[in-house]
Amino acid sequence: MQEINNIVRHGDVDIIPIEMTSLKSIPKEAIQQKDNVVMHGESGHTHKIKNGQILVMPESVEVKTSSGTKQVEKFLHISETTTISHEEHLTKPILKGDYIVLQEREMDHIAEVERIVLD
Amino acid sequence: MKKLNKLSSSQIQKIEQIKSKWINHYLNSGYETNYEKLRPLIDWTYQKAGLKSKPFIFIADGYFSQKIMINYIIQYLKMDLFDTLKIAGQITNQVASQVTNQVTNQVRSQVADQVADQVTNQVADQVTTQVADQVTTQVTNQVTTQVTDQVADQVTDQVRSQVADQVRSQVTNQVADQVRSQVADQVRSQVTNQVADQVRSQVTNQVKSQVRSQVRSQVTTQVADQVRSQVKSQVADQVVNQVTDQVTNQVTDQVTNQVTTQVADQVASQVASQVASQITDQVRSQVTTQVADQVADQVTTQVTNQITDQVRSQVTNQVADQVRSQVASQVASQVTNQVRSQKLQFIEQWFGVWNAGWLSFYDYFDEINIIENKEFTNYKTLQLEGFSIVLFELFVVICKMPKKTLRDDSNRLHSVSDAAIQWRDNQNQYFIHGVNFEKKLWDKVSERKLTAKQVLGIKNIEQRFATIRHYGMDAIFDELDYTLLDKSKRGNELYSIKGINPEKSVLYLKYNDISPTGRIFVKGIPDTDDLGEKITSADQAQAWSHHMTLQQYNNLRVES
Repeated sequence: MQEINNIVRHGDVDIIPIEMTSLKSIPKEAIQQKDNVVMHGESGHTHKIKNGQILVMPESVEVKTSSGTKQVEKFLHISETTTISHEEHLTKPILKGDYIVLQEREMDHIAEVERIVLD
Repeated sequence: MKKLNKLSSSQIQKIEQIKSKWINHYLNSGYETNYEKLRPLIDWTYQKAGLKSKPFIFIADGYFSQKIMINYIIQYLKMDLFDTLKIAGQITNQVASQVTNQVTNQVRSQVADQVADQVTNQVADQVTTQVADQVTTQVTNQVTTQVTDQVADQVTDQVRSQVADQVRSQVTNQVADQVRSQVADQVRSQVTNQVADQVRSQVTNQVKSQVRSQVRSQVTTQVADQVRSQVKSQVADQVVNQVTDQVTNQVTDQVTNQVTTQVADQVASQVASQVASQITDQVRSQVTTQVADQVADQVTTQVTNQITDQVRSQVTNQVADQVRSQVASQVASQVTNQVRSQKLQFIEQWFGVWNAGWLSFYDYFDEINIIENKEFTNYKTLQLEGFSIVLFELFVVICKMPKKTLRDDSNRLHSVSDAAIQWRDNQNQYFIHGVNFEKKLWDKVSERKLTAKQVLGIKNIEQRFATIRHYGMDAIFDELDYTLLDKSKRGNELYSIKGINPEKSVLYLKYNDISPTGRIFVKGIPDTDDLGEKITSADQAQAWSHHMTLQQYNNLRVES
C-alpha cells in the first residue's frame, strides 16, 4: 500500500507537514510574517498562500526529517485548506495543518558547496 | 437597434489592426508623451475622481527613473510633513516633559537636524548618482519651488486632519504611554535602585573607612557614630541624585532620539502610501469603473456574446499577454528588485500599459462605431500617453514609452544583440528568452564567451536555463564528457559529467520544471544523499533536491 503524504512541491518551494519531522509544533519563537508571500524569487515572482499564517524564526532551527537534518526558518500554519499560487506555476491546495518550508537545493560542483536553487 | 451578430469582412480585418495598434503603441511606437495633450486629460480624471487639485505633472524617460522620481518627491513631502505635523515635536514634548525641559530642547534640535540631514543626504546621493541630470533638474526645480509651498499649505490641512488625529491618538498616546510607563519606570526603578545601591554601598564604604580611620583615633565611638550617620545621609544622597540625573538624562536622550526618528519615518511613509492608494481607489472606483461600465453596457446591448468572445480572444487576450504579461510584468519585476535593493519604495498603480487588455477590447467596438462615449475616449487617450502613470493628489509621474522592445517568437523579451528594452534615459534592460540579465553577464552569454563549465556554474537557475537554450543543450553537453546514468518516467535525467571537477566525475540532473512554461533546467547533485546513500537514480536525485526520501517523492501528489 502506498503511503500518501501531504508534502507540497511548488516550483522551488517544498512544504512538508510538521508531523513528518522531529518537531511537534511550530516553535513559539517564530514570528508571524505580515504578508502572504512564502518565497520571493530573484525574477520578482512570488509563491503566495491565499489564507493562513507564515511564521519566521529569528534564527534557523535544526529539524530532523526522514531525509536528513534540515535548518528551518519558515513555517506555515494553515487553519483551513488553502491554496498556493505563483505566476508561472499552477495553483495548488495546501491542507489544514502546520508545515515546515524548505527551498529546492542543488550542489555547486565548482564551489563544491550545497546551495539553494535561485530563480 | 438589432444586435450585431456577425462581423463583416472589414470588421474582421479591423481585429488584427486594433491588436497590432495597441501592442505596437506600448512596445515599439517610440511614442513621445505629449504634455499639452496630457494636461486636460489629467485634469479631467481628477475632476471625475472628485479631486479638487490640479496636480503637477512630471515625465520620466524610463521606468526606473519614474520610480526614483516618485521616491524623490515623497522624500520632499516627508520633510514637509515632518515639519508641519511636528510629530517629532509632539513626541519629544511628551517624552521630555517627564524628564526635563532642558533635555527636550536639546533632543528636539538634534533630532530635527539629524532627520533633515539624513533625508537630504540620502535623496541627494541616490538621485544624483542614479538618475540622469534631466530628472534631477526637473524634479528639483519643480518640487522645490512649487510643490513644497503648495504641499505645505494643502497637505498640511488635509493630512493634519486625517493623520494628525490618528497619529496623535494612536502613535503619540501609545508611544507616550509606553515611554512614560516603560522608560520612566524602568529608568527610575532600575537606574535609581542600581545606582543608588552601588553608590550607597561604595560611598558608604569609602566614607565609612575614611571616617573610621580618621576619627577612630581622635573621637569616641559615640562621635564616630554621629559622624557616620550624618555623612551617610548627606553625601550618599547627593551623589546618588547626581548620578541618577545624569544617567536618566542620557537614557532619555537616546530613547527620545530613537522614538522620534522612527515615528517620523513611519508616519511619513504611511502618509505617502495612504495618499497614493486613496487616489488609486478614487480613480478606479469613480473613473475607471464608471467608464468601463458605460461602454460595457453599450457593447452588451448592441453586440452578441459570440462576437465579444471573438474580440476578447483575438484582441484583448493577446494584447494583455504580449504587452502586460510578457513585457510590463517583467519590467516591473526587475525594477522592483532594483528599487528595493536601494531601500526605496516601489510604487505602481497599474495605470497605463496595465490597462491595455481591456481597453483594446472596447477600442475595437469604438473603432467599428458600436460605442460612442467621450469619457471612454478621454480615459483611453490618457492611458495611451504613458507606459506607467502614477497618481498622487498633488502630482502625477508618468513614464514615457520605451524607444524599442525586442522579443522572441514566443513574444518574450529577448535579444542577444541589443538591450531587449531600450529606454530614453538608457537605463536599458537585458533579457534572453524572457529571463533578465545584468549587462555584464548578458554580454558574455550573448557572445557565447562562457565555457560549458561556466554555464553550469551560473548561480541563477533561470539564467542558466536561458543560457543553455541560447547555446543549445547539445552544444553544452558536447563540450563535456558525459554519461547518461538514468532516465525516469517523470522526465528526470541523471548525468555523470567529467571536466567540471578535476579530480572526479560529478552528477547533474536535467529536468522539466513541471510548470506550464515547460522549461528544462540543469542542476548539480551530490554523490550521496543526507543519509549517506549513494545517489544512483534520477528520481532519487530529484528527491534529494526537494528534501524528500525517494519513497516520499514517488508518493508526492501535490506538485507543480
